[in-house]
Amino acid sequence: MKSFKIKSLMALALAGMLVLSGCGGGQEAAAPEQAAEKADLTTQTVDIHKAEDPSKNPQQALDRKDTIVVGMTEFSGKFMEQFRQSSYDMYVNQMIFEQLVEVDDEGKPVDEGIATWTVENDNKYIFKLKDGIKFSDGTDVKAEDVEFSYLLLADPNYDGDSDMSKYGFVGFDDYKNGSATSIEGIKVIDDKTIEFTLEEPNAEVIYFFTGGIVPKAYYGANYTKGDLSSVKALLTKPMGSGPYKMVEYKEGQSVTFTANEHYWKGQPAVKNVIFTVTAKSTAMQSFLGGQTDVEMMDVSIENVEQLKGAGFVDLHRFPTNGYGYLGMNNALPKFSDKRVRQALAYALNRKDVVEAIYGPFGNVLNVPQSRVAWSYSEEGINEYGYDMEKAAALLDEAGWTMGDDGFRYKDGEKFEIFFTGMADHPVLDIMLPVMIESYKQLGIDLKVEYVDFPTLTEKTNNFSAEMWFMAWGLTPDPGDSSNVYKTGGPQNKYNYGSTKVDELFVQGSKETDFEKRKAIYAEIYKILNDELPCIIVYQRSDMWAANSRLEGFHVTPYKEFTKDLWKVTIKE
Amino acid sequence: MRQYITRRVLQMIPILLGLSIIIFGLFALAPGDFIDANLSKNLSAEKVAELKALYGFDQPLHIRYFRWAGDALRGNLGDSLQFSKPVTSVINDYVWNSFILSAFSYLLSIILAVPIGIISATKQYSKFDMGATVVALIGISMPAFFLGLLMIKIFAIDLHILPVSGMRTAGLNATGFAAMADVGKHLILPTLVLAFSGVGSLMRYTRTSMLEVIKQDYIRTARAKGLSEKTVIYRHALRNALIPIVTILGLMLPGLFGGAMITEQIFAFPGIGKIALGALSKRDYPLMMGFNMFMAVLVLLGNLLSDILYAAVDPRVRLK
Repeated sequence: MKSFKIKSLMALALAGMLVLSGCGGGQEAAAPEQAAEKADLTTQTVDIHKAEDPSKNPQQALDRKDTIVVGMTEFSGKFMEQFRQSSYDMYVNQMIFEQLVEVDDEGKPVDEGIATWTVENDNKYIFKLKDGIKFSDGTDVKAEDVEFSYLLLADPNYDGDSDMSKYGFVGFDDYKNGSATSIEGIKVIDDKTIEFTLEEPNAEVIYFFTGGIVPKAYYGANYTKGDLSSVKALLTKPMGSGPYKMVEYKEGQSVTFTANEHYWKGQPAVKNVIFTVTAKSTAMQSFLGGQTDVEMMDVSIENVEQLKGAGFVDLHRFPTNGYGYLGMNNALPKFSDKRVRQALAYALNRKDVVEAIYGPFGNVLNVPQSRVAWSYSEEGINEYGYDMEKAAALLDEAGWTMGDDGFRYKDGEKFEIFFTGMADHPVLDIMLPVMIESYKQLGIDLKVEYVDFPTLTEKTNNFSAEMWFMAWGLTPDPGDSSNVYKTGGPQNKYNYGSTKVDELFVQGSKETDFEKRKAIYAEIYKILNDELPCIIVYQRSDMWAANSRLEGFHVTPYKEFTKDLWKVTIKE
Repeated sequence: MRQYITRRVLQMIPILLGLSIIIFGLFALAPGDFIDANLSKNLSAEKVAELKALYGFDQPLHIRYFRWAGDALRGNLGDSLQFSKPVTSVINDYVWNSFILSAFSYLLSIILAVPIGIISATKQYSKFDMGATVVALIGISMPAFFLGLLMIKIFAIDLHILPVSGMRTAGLNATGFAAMADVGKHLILPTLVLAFSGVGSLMRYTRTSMLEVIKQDYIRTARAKGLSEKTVIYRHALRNALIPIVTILGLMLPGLFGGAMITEQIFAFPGIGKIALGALSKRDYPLMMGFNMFMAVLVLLGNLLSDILYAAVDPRVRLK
C-alpha cells in the first residue's frame, strides 16, 4: 500500500480543503482559553476520548446487530493496490488484500503480515509465507501469487503510480523493456518461499513490500505481458486473502463486505461491513443519527464538542501524515539568499495562524516529517518564532534596504512577491491576509493570484510560480522526501540544491540500520531547517469518530482502522 | 417530414464535429493534466514521462484530437483515467440515477407549474398571481445548496422523517417493494430541491404564453358567442397556450440526463453531475470529452424533438 502508492498529495490537499470547508466558518472559533486543553500529540500518538454516555446511542445504530457501517466520501473503483489512487479506495483494498510486511505504530516494518523475512548481504530479501493463508476462494496463497503481484508493476503498459524501477531489482529492465518473461531478481524457490534480489542495498525497499498480494489464478487467467486489460476488468471485483471479501459495489453509493471464512487469523467478529458514501456537509448528521458507525470527521472545536456532547461517540485523534508548507522558487534572485527566506519565516506568525485555522488541533511544524514518525528529530532545529525585528535585520543584512515609500529595495528593485493561491482555500483564507499584512510591515509587497489545483501544479512544474502554498503527504519511510529536497528531484519545485543534503539522502537510502538512518535524516532536517528551501507551516490532525457500541476499534497514523476492524465486536 | 428529419440529422454531423474540436481544445488547453492533478511525491521524472507517454499527453494537440475522434467514430470513447474503465460504462453507472431524480423533479415541476401559470394568467395581477410570481422568483434565485441544507435540517435532522443523504439505506437489506420505498424516501428531498428551482421558470413561461393567447381576437369571439369562461379558457385558450410549452419540454430533455451537480453533491446522490464535476477537477479528459459529447448529442436531439413537437401540435407550422 504505502509503497505501491504514497498517499497522494491531491487526496491530502483535497481532504484538507473539504474537511475544512465542511466546517465552514468554524475555524475562527479558536478562542485562547480553549488552547489550554490542547492535547499534546508530541508525546502521544493517538488522543482517545471515550464515550461518556453510551445510553444515548441512536436506535438506528442499535438495530444493526451484525453490521458495521462506515461513512466515506467517494470511491473511484480502483480496488487493487497496484492501481489505486484515492485513499478511499485504499480503505476498501485493505479490507480485501494483505501484504508481506506490515508497519507498527511508529511506521517501522514488522512481520505481522502474511510472511516473515530475512535479509542476506543487505540486498537479498527472502520471504517465507506463513502457514494456512488462503484467498477468499479457499485456495492457498503461494509464492507465485506474490511474484505475479509484483510483475504487474513491471508490465510495460502499467499505468499505476507505483514506481518499481527505483529500487534496482536485478533484471527489472530486461523484463520491463525487454523480452524476459520473468524478473531475474524475483525468484520463486518453492510454494512458500520467494527471494527478491537488488543490484545494491536499498533501505527503502522494505516499504515496497507493503503492497497487496493478489491471486494469480484469478487475475492472471487471461493476462499476457503488455496487456493489462483483463486485470483491470476485475478492478471492481477484487479477491484477496484479507479478513473480508467484497459482496457488492454500487457505484457512487456503497461497498458491501462480508467476512472471509478462510481468513487465517480467525473469523471476523462482525459479519458484515458496509462503506457508504456520505456528503461532507452532512456526514456529522448521518453519524449522530446512527446511519453510520464510523467516519473520519473534520477536526474543529465545534465538531469535537458536538461529538463529545453526543455521549455515545469514541474519538480517535492523531497527527495527519503530512504537512502544509509555503514553497518558494529559490532560483529567483529575491529568494536565493537564505537570509531572505529566513526573514519570511520569522515575519509570519505561524503559531497564531495555525491556532486560528485548526484551534488546538494543529501544531507548527519545522521539519518535513510527522512528529510521531520513528525518524522525527528536533535536534538543532531553529523554531523561527515570530520576530519582526530579526526579520528586518536579516533583510537589511541581505541588502534589502527600506525605501521612503515603506517598501524595501535592492539594486533599485522593489521587493514584490507574486503569490499563487487557490481560491476558497480554508488555510489560505486565513493565512494570506496575515502574510500580506506582516510582509507589508516588513516592506514587502505580496500580490496574490488565484488558480485551481492542477493549474498551480503546472505552474510549480515549470517553475513559473514564485511563492505558493501546498501540502505533502508522508509515508513511514523518511527517504520519500528525497524527491522533494534533493538537487533536481522531480518534486523539488523550489529549485533548491545542496550537495550535502544530496549525499545524506543517498547514505540514508543505503543504511539499513534504523538508528543510524535516523541520525542521517536528523542531519538532513537540520540543514533544511537552516537553509529553508520552503517554510513548513503546520501538521494538522485527523480524527475518526466511532460509535461506542463498537468494541476494539483501533486506528493510528500508520495503521488504518481497516487493519483491526476484523477484531471489532458489537456490544449489546 | 421524413425528409426534414433526415436533413436535420445530417446537419448534426458538422455541428458535432465542430463542437468536439472546441470542447477538446478547451479541455486540452486548460493548465495541468491528470498526472498533475493527481500529484504524488514518489513519482520520479522518468515515471511521469512514462505515464504521460502511456496516456498520449506527450503528443501534439491535433494528433491527440484525431486519435480521440478516430476512436470515438468507432464507438470507443476511451477509458476514464480516474476509474480505469470505459467512459461509456462510467456514464451508464451514474446517468440512470440522475435520470430518475430529474424525471421525478420535472414531473413535479410540470404538475405544479402549468396549472399555477394558467390560474396566474387568468387572474392577472390578483393576489394569487402576485404570490405565485414572488414564490417563483424565490425558487429561481435561491441557491440549491442553501435550500438543500435547509431541508435536510428540517426534515432529516429535526423531524427525523427523511434520510439525510444517499440513495439507499446502508445495511437495510430490503428487497422488492421495501427497497423501492427506501429509494423513494431518499429521492424526496433532492426532488423537491430541484423542482423548486425548475417550477418557477416553467410557471412564468406558461403564464406569459397564456396571457398572450387570452388577448387574441378569437378568445374575444368565443366569449362573445356566450361560451362559459371554463370552456373559453380550457378548450380554446389553453390548447394554443400550450404550444410553446411543449417545445420547452423538448429542450428540457438533455437536462434529464445531465445531472444536477450541486444538488447531487449536497445529498451525496450517486449521479452523473457529481462525476462530471470531479472529472473536471481531476482532468480526466476521456470522461470529460465523453460526457460533454453525450450532452451535445442530447441537446441537438432535444432541439430536433422540440421542432417536431411544434409541428405536431401546431397545424400552422409546416416542416420542410
